[in-house]
Amino acid sequence: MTDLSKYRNIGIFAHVDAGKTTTTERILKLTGKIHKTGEVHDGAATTDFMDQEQERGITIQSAATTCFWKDYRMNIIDTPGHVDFTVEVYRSLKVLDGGVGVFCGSGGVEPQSETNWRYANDSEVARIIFVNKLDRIGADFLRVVDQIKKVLGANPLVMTLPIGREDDFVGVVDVLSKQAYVWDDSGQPENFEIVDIPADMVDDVNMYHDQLIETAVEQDDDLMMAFLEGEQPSMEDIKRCIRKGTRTMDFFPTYCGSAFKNKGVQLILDAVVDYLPSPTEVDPQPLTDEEGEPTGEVATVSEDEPFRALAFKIMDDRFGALTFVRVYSGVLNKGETILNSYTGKTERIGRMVEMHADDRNEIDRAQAGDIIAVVGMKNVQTGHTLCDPKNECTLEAMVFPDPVISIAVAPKDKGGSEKMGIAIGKMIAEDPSFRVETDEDSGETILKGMGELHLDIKVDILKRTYDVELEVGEPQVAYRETITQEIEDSYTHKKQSGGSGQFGKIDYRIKPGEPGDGFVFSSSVVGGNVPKEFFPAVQKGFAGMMENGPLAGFPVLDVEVELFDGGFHAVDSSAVAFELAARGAYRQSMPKAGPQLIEPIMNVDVFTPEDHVGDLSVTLIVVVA
Amino acid sequence: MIKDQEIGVSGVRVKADVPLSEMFGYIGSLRTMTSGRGQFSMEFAHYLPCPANVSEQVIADEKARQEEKKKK
Repeated sequence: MTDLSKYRNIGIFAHVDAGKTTTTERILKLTGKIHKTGEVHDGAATTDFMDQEQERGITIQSAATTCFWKDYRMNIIDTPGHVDFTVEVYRSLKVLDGGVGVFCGSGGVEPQSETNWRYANDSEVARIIFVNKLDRIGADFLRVVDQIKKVLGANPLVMTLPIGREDDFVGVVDVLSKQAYVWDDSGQPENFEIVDIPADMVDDVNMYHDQLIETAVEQDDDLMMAFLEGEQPSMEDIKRCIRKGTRTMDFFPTYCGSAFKNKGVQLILDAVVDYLPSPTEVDPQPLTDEEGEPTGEVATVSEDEPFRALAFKIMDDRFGALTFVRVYSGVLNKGETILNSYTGKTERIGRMVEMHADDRNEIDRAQAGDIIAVVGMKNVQTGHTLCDPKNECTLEAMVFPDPVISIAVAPKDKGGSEKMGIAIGKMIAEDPSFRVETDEDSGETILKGMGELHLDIKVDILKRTYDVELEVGEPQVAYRETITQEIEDSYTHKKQSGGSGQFGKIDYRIKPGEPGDGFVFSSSVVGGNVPKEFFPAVQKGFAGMMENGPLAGFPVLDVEVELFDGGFHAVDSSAVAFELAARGAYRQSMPKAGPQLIEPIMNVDVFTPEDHVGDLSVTLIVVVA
Repeated sequence: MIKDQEIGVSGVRVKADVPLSEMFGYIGSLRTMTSGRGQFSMEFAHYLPCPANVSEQVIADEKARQEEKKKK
């Protein structure tokens, strides 16, 4: 059994180009997993292993990687930075216990860093901060620290200070131990010396050291009292306090360096070990019932509990289907049978592997706290809970936003359509924010996603990974319809000429609903003019029609329908008759209720270097008008 | 609608609510304008009524598309 306090499940997140992948690479190199470090711009980075990623120089999928540092086991999830892949960030955050936020030393806090930061706040993920690229021209550590305060509203706790700027950046001073780490020019991370603090930095280091101690002791009242009475706390006590404050997100230990130049990365690893929480220290995942309501129970991270795990990522690579799983509690042995609580089906665990980006180790056993991949699972999708068949449970369901953009695709040659179908099926299992519909009238395949780039990449994957040649249509906005006026109306469905008759009369109000509520149905019929058993039929009739708006056939949102009266026939009334009445009522009344086309509005966040502000404002205004 | 404009040390960030339909290809023009240094991110906020001219156009296009389909 492994000591859970020596586990760290961490994610590394940052803006595109802040150096996240390079930082991950350096960590893997230092921890001895790979010997030759891949450079992103050469297209050989270990975590970016899809063709599309290497060409675009961005990380699309979170690859889970296991490595070891000073007897601690680290599972690193590499997260994508571009907003079109926000779903992946969400999904990764869900299974993490802590994170490293990487910021660019010259670019500072960029729009996406802010978005990801907010998501991490929502998920209450403790983080340390790494200000990277200090060798870059224009890099300024303290300016970024300031931005973190102002823009993110976070409290960065300065742990290291840079020695030298830009080209002259040679190392860092550890503010806590007051030691200077200086690297030589070889680019090797292990070639460093511990030297005295440069004379011109002594005052600064002392100042930050005092700040650090003062902030840290606030976490412990006894220590605080002793400190105020002039007693210097011990190193262990300070570290314990920093650890506590990090976990409660009172502050974020902040480091600096240059991953590319291999300077300062060890200190990050030490910080992960020293300050980020182990799986047992974070709040346990709540369990929910089938509707996603919390049951009050939690999945305590312990081997003695029944097995509970969450599938957070499905990937189909050249080795076959991989299901990435975070084990929350219990133990999973090879050959055991587990229950997928979403589908209600059981499945036997054939092979389990520990992932190292593109490589893997076979394992026989996984335990609470582990992040592993299971090979060849069927009928499992992202977000499904896997559990002990004798102890059924559901971990909090993951909610994904609805897609707002769509494109039509068709295979170039007839033979491609079957291949495309299979490929798309696999891609949907991998990415729940990606959806597919077939247009019933035209037979076109419609891909739906979160943004232009998201769909671009899906088309690319179809072309390259699955070798399907496609005709791609123009991107389409997901327009919707709603209504603006309240209307009271009545409709009678009647067919009583020969044979068994049909009769249903409904009196109803249709009115605009609250934004975001979708379709809401209620009934206030008294006296049984419409018998209760027909309410669901009326609701079904309206709901079915809401897919098809009165203006142009777009789905209808935010409409309330209230059934308040009606009439029935003892023999001829039936569920079908009332459903048809509702459908007729919809057709009759919706065009009179002030139908209105609505479009998705995006929160846009643009950042531009100062000299282009004029141009930017003009374009944005043009865009907005 | 521009909600917020903030002048930072290294540049300016602008936050705005913009219809998705206006954002197609925006990353391209932003990069051109700023020599590749500008950046933007966006996420879905909510639905709002389309302006009448857009609405008419979209409805007309959609109806034409449906006509087209029926012919096939």
